[in-house]
Amino acid sequence: MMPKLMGIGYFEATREGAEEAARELGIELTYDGPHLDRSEDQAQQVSEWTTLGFDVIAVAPVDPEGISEALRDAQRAGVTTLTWDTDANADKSGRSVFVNQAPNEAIGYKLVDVMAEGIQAKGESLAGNYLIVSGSATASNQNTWMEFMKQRIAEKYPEMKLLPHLTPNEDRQRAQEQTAEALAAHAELKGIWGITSVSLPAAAKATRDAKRAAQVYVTGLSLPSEMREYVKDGTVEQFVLWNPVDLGYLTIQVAHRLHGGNLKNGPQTMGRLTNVEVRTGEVILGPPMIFNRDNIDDHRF
Amino acid sequence: MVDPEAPPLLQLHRIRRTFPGVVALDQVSFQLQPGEVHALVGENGAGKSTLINVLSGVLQPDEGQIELLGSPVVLPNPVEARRRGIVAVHQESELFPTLSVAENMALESGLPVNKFGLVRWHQVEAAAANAMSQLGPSWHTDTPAAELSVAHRQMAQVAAAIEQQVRVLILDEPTSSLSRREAEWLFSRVQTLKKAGTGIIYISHRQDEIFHLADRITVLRDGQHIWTRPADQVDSSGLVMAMVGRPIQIERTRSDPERPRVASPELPPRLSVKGLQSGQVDSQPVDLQVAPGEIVGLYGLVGSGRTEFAQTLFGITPAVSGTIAVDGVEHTIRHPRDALAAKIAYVPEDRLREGICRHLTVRANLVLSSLRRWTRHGLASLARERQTSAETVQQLAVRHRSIEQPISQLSGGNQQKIVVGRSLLTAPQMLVLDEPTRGVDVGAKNEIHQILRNLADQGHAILMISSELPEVMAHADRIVVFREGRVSGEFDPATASTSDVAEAAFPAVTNQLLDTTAPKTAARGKLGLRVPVAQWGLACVVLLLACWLWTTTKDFDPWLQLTYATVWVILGLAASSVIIAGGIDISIGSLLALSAACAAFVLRLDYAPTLTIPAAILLATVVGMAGGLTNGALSLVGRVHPIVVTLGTMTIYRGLVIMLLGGRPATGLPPLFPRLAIDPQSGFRGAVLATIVLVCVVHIWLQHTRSGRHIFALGSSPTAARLVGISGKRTWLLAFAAGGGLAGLAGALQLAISGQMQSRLGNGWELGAIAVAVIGGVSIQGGRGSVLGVILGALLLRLVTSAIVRLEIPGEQVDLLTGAMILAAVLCDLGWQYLRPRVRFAWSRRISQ
Amino acid sequence: MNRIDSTTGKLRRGITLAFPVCLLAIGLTLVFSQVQRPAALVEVWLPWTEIGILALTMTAVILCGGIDLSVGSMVALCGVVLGITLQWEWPLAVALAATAACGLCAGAFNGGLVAIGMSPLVATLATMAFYRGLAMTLSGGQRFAGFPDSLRNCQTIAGFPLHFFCFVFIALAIWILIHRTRPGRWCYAIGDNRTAARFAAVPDRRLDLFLYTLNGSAAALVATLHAIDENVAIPDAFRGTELQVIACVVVGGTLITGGEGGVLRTLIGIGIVTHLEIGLRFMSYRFPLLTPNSRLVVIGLLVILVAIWNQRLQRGKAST
Repeated sequence: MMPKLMGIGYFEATREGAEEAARELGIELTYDGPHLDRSEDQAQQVSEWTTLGFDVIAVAPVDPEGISEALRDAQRAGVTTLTWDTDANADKSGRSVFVNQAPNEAIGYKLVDVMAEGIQAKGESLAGNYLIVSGSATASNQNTWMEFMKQRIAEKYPEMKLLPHLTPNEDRQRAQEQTAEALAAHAELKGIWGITSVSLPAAAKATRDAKRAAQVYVTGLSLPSEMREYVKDGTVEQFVLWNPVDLGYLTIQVAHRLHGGNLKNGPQTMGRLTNVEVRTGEVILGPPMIFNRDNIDDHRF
Repeated sequence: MVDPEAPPLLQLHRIRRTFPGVVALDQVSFQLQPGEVHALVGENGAGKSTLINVLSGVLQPDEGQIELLGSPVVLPNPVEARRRGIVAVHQESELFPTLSVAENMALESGLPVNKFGLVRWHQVEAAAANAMSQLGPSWHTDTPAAELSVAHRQMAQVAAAIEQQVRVLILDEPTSSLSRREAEWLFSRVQTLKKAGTGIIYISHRQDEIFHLADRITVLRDGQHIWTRPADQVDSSGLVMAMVGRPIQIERTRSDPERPRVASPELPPRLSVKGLQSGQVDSQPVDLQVAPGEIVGLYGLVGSGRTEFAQTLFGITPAVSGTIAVDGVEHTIRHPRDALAAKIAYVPEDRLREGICRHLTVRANLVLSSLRRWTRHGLASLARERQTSAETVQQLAVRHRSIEQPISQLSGGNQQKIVVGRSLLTAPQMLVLDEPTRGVDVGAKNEIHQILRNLADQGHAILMISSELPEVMAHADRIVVFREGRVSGEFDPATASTSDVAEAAFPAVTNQLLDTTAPKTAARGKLGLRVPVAQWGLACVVLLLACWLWTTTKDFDPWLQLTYATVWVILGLAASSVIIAGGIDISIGSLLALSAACAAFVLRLDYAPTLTIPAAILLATVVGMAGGLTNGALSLVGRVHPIVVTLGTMTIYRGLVIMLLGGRPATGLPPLFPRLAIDPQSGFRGAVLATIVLVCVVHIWLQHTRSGRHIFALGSSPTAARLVGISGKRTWLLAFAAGGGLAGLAGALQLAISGQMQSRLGNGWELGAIAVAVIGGVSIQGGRGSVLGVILGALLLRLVTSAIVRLEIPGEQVDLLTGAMILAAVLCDLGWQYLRPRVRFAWSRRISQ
Repeated sequence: MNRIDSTTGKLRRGITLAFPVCLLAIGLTLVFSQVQRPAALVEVWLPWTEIGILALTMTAVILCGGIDLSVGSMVALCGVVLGITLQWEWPLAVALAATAACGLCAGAFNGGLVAIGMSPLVATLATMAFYRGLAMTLSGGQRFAGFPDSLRNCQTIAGFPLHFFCFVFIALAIWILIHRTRPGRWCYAIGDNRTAARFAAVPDRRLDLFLYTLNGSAAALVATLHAIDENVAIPDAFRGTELQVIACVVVGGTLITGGEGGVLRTLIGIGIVTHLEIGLRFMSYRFPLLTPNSRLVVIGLLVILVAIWNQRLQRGKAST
């Protein structure tokens, strides 16, 4: 099983879940990945794993196109391949299934809804400028979410005005700097989404440092462990995420079933997870969760 | 005036020093009384330089003893000699090119420091100004030494030496490029020192100076002591005879006396040069003809312009005017390639620097210039190369073991034969040899002369440059004498006397008076040339950008800009301190992360924050220093270029970070720590404050302490640093440790600013740091840079990033702009380095008119 | 007499090669002891042949006393140019020509900067950022995928991947260039003593221009190969590749300061870096003590050790 990147909290959480499932199922699990988010390193490692005789390889691709050829070659060599977290090019890669944390549509909509509800709950109008802090310009799932976010805004909250989004290249320092810049440049900024586990804490930190937490509503996608500080001091009221431990757990469960050839369609129970929805070529963990002051201490990841 | 009976100040007993195949000093004894000016005369190669080098600790004698004030001393290095009060001003000076004249002078004797260990710049400046105020109006003590002319460099050295209150002062050709006024200043200083009891060893080719200054004269010839006499008992002709006047017993290598050798209507010249003038400042137009089969000896002293003439002929320094014709065909020669095409070959003077590639084989050196001849269809034929090499080597009687052995294993004479062989393989018609027998033993000398004679007999035209009169007398068909950049006489060795030739070469009293009536003056006044213009430009750009951002955005927050620039300032300084010392460290990005990880580890311990925070900052610094030291030490011990070492350690440190963090981000630091950097409640920006303090400390260290200045000195010139007694190893390690320590502090600061860290923190930042340094005007060659420049560089990068967000330009273009900015900065610097001497020169011309 | 000396010379060269060859053997053993599907190794080697091609041309640059940090960015830039031109539906041949031209120009620009006297380290550091920014700007941060089949069909020739042919061809060509032609001899002379080489009428600046241009063209070739194999061109790709490339050259035993080394050494160096990295990764799955992270430390140590070993043996003797 391969994450996008080693050494960041989100993927360490998925690793925890994956190891848990491997113990339950008695599977020999190898969890390794690139130390830089270079697509070519991932492709390289997939080829290496193929030679090692793994039965199943599960990858969270840095770049959906960059990994596809490697996955197809692995599949031709007799390896069952699946993707998780982010999908590869389904046709080209020949991957069996994509383990999706939540439908992209649901994530995009949820992000917008959380922001709108939060602001309306304060009794303010939604009109104003909004900013998305993304991860990197080439990250496809983030781009997809942003598409759905724009769609939702256009449909439901047309008074929200989106500024051009920031792409700090998954660099924590850059994300913080760029958010701070944007805060300074746009005095009437109403809300910020940080849509990666790197961007949201950086955006929250920048907002807090600029003493704008009261005016600017910050939310997005991130890990409770990284956000605890900001949720507790009120910079961030609530944010969205799925359970990454469960995602890792599910991926290994699905991999096991795929290898055994007994993955059936329809809602079902996998290990400790109930209500997993299996479609053709896609397995969905469930709807995204909302984290706030009340439940943030319930999760270790 | 001098009491010859007084106990001698300095005494040499039967000093002997040999070089492989050559006895440079043979049982030479020498005495110097306090308050005496003792002139040492002899031809080039007579052993004067060796004697000076032995005296000043550069060389060790094989036999014999040196006594200073009656007690025997050992002078293992120049530092020890200087400590004992023996100071030598060498003819070919070693200076720190990027440092100011004043600092160069002060470094010679050790920078003076006050009780806090800070350099007394006032004293340095005052001492330099004092020494130089007497030199004339053309002096700025803060001019970088690289911009001085040769004359000025020499004067600076003399002035520096005189400032040191020495016991024994050795002056090697101090006036060879000085004007009369400058020389007179020197003479008056010599008189003052004399009165103070200093012993002065004075070496010069100028007889008027010798007779004017010297109390006694010692003549050396071929490494032997000829005689020592009081100056008033010697006359000019007697001196010249003693120097060169041994009976010339060498057989003349002349064959076939019937053959016409001098150009005539029947025998058109092979080489004909008309009005050739090189681009150098003092050069004069030169006319010269060489006939086929003729060996023309070009005689002149060092610095008489003969080497410059030869190099212009060969296209190393292209001519500004004049024509060169070979066999009647005119050629434009702008590059050595053109010269080879015109069938002119050149054997350079400095064999080690300009002649051979030391680590390559004999064969590779031999065929280097004539590769085209041994390639077929673009492919080299090793067999043909080997055959030709073997033949050439045999022809020239090179003593060697194999043509595939490195050339550095050959003796000097045999190396020289290889260089001659290389030019012969280009099939030249015209062969120019610059000091072909310098540093060559007697046997090989004769062989080389025989080779030249044979070549001449085959119809080659040969121009042999030499500063040994017997050599040209014996082996040339015609002698052309150079003096002060032009031809001063022409002689037939068969009829001319040695003293006539010598007289034409040595500047005589009357000539000198005529030559120096127009004293050189250069620009004075606040030209602003010294101020690093690039830095002013940078400051203006930064200011303009800041103003523009300030006025165009409603809520411009300078504190914010400064906060985010802090890490880059510190990291840029980390890169700079290593680069200034002449090294490079590409592991600082990883080192920053490693320090931050260690700090995070301490911060997460369950102790009071008041305890853990200082401990964490301290640990980060220590870890950084240790990492930097490791880099420096590995490159020293392994003698490996630091870029390779730090390429390795970069990976190692990154691996350690990941292992230390266990793959997880470091979160949950005590909340006090990030608030020290940025406190959202009070708006307190501790990061900025800390950086200002740190920057001041680094500035004081680099600018105002000995160790800081030694880092500049080492990067500027390692050789000169060794000569003035700066420990290269210690300084090198210090620079790396300081760089590492700064990177460690940057790590702690970054941790505080972000409030957490991930294992990829600092990935690729080393390049950003080097970019900051380079934009800030730090020279990648070492020895130049300033803290202010680095700050400006970091601010510029920050503001540009800021402007990009403001203008809503896609973030992708940050890299584009960064690259363009580095290029612009370096190009400006290159252009300025190129223009500056020219502007200065043009300006000084205008002033003097 | 002659023969004896050349034998000891060979012996000395043999000793300097011994360490790298041992490392190569260790690396190969590590890899092959773990491999279960040997046929799939081809796919593992393909990306390394790309690095290898870059390392081969880089060898020439380093021998000549230079360095090129911008190779990774040049590959990305050439990939973007290929992607854009094909997106504009230019004919394949024209698009390939544009890619090659882009590599040539980028390399020539580097060469030009070095030839006018800029330090190679600074010049290519600047162009590294510049070309990367150019690639990102031209592409707008977007990847290019779905190259035409006419391009993709070149993936294998007679059952062998195109990569191998290119690698072998470049290795041969660079070997001939360095060891059998005039520019090759010039490289060694300039790397050893630039002043002396200039006095021997070696056109050092022209050679700089040529070698950096060569490096740029290699980048264009690699970009094309990458597009053929992976069917994608990412503007953000090949970050940090320059360090891998330099590691290959240095580990093989070419001196970073120039003047000594060769193509054979670089080939061994490529083998070492490739197989040790893969082998150590494989071992870390087998032995939990050797965590995947610790292999970074091991590889870093190796680079330093090999460099010190080579420097000691080669220069220690020659500089007496």
